Amino acid sequence: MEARETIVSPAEIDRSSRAPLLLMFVLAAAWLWIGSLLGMIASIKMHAPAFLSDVSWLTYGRVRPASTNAFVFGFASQAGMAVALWLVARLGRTIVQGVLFIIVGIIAWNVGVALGVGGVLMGDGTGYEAFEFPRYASAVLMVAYLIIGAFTLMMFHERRERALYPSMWYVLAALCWFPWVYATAQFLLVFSTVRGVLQVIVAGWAGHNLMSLWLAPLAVSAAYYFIPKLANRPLHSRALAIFGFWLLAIFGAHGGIPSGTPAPRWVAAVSDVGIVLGLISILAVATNLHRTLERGYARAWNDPGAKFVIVGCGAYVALGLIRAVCVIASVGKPAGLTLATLGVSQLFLLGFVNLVFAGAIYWIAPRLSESLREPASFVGLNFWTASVGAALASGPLIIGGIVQGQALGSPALNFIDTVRRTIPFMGMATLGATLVLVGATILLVNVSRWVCLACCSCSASDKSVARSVKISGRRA
Amino acid sequence: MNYGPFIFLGVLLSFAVSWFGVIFGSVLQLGSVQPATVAATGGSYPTARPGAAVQGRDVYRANGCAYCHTQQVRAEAEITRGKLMKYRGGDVTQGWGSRPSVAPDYIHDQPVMLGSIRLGQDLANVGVRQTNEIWHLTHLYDPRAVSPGSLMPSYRFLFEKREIIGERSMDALPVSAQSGVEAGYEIVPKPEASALVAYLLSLRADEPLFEAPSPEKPKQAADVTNAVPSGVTPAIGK
Ligand code: HEC
Repeated sequence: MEARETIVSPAEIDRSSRAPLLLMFVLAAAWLWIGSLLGMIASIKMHAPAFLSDVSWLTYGRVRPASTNAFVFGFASQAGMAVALWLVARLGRTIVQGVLFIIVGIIAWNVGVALGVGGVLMGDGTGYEAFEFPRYASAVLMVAYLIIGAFTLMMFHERRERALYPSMWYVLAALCWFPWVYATAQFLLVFSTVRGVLQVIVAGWAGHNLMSLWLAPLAVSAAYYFIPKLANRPLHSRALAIFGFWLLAIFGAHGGIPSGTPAPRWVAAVSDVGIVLGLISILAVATNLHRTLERGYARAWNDPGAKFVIVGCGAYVALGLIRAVCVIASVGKPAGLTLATLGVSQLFLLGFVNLVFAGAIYWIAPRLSESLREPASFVGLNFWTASVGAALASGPLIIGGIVQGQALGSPALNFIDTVRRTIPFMGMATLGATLVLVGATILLVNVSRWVCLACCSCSASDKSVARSVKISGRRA
Repeated sequence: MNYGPFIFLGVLLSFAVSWFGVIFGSVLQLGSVQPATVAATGGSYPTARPGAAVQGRDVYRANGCAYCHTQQVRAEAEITRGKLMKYRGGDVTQGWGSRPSVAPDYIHDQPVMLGSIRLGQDLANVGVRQTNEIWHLTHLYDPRAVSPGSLMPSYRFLFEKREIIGERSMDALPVSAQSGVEAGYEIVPKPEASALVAYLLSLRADEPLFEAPSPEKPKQAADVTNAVPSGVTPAIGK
């Protein structure tokens, strides 16, 4: 109780969170790089089937899920947990406690991701989209999450600032939803597999929630924090934020089972309702952020991190609109089960999540320590490659999917011709994937340099502390 | 909204509703699906896959064939709000199945790999349309040898390249120099390749069922018998 009375300065908070955050950032950036490299290889393989085709561990059906999982668990989840930790510390005015435990958790998490990506490449993937990690990897991930999540929630509980800012709602919710979603998927798919089509329902539902109730809320919490800071004014409307949040909480979990799946009709219908109401929740967030920023867009453009966040949120709105339009059967049916599916998932991962978290890293890292103040290099190039790359890796695939769906409808074409029509679109996606890789390289270099700087300054200050201790000891 | 426990409870409760509704609800409805009885023959459908096919399903999973191939035939038309809607280029018109896929088709599979992208054809009924084992093996070794212009990757690592000593082996593939096989060598499928083909041949979901009867003329998209009216859940387990 007494501790609550003492005031902690932001500098102290940042010092306590520096080690775990920098560790998570650098490892996340490394996974982003690996995921982008695998993604580029997969993208090339789609239109050039002979590329690297003689090795089993580089076959398309292994590289694609390895890439997605490196993105989702290695980069996005890790960067998201780092952002959550930082927000809880900053907004709750608490010092990060149990740093050593958290670091153990982070290391375990990364061991889990490495086992998972390696396992998928070795052919151990489970066959369920978004949950391909074999059981030995997902068990490690689960334990690692329990450590990191428990400490973050404990900090939330111990916070000195009791008022809850909207970012904190999203963080709290995401931290509670993730273990439930992940455990449900693991239990019902891998450890005690349910029968037949039930697997499809569980995997679709959990895969949807992994995106909508884990990665998306973490990214939204970051945006809700950064945009008002940047505009230097409070969030436009708290009521709108409450509305958007509860809409997501109540209806956001429904989704992931497109109509036409050989599952009971009502499951797909519930899923459609969830997607449409999810769009309203996305629009509420976007309106709120837009009204907060209002005339601040020009200023935002000059901030290294903020423009990533703004464009990322734009991708989120686009994604919500596309998903909602696909609920209309005459649009969704022909475009369903085509390349468009991949395009939409790339829009989410590369456009929304990647951009927002990259922006968050560029925002947070320099604030963690005096010694990190020096500006990062090539941030502009990173921004353009990452955002244009995301657009090219998703847009053409979505259009290509529509073309593919139309071509299937014309009786004059045989199947191979309908697929070959999409080659130019897949080529553009490869260009996009290459740009994304360039962006990921810049981010990795920048974050690694920050980590080096932090280590140097840290050991330097340790030495000076040691020296002063020695000196004062001698005096006494 | 400044009270942590309130948000915490609200978040858990709303999620629990979805969890119970979607997951638990489906388990209740589908958890005990039994093979259906086929009216014409009195046998049951589907029967479990033979052992080699089960091993082949593992090869299919390990190599991620499902990232390019689906295994679900969608209805060509459906009745939405009393109106009959037809889709162009439906799956039955493509010749991918004689009827839409339904839940009982999948009860023996683990994992069920419906897939979500069709860079290649739907394979729910590939065992009906392509029954030639040698074709499948050759296609896996060098897709472009049998399907010019194909974008499917080759799966050479499922085959063994052996020097021919004496006689050619019985199961050597009829592939030529065009597929990059030098004279004096032969290509023999590893057990994984044979198992995979056994699995592909076992993919046949064409038994007419009560909830998904085959239309009289399978090639005609306009056939209304093919429609599954909305709101009617397939009667399963009866
Ligand atoms: C990169 C995408 C891709 C992957 C991965 C892929 N395929 Fe294909 N597949 C295709 C394409 C494109 C075609 C159509 C052209 C052809 O017949 O080769 C095809 C055709 C087929 C056909 C012929 C279907 C028919 O109706 O004639 C079979 C059988 C098949 N694939 C099996 C497999 C198996 C088994 C695997 C996994 C080991 C696999 N495919 C992986 C793209 C892919």
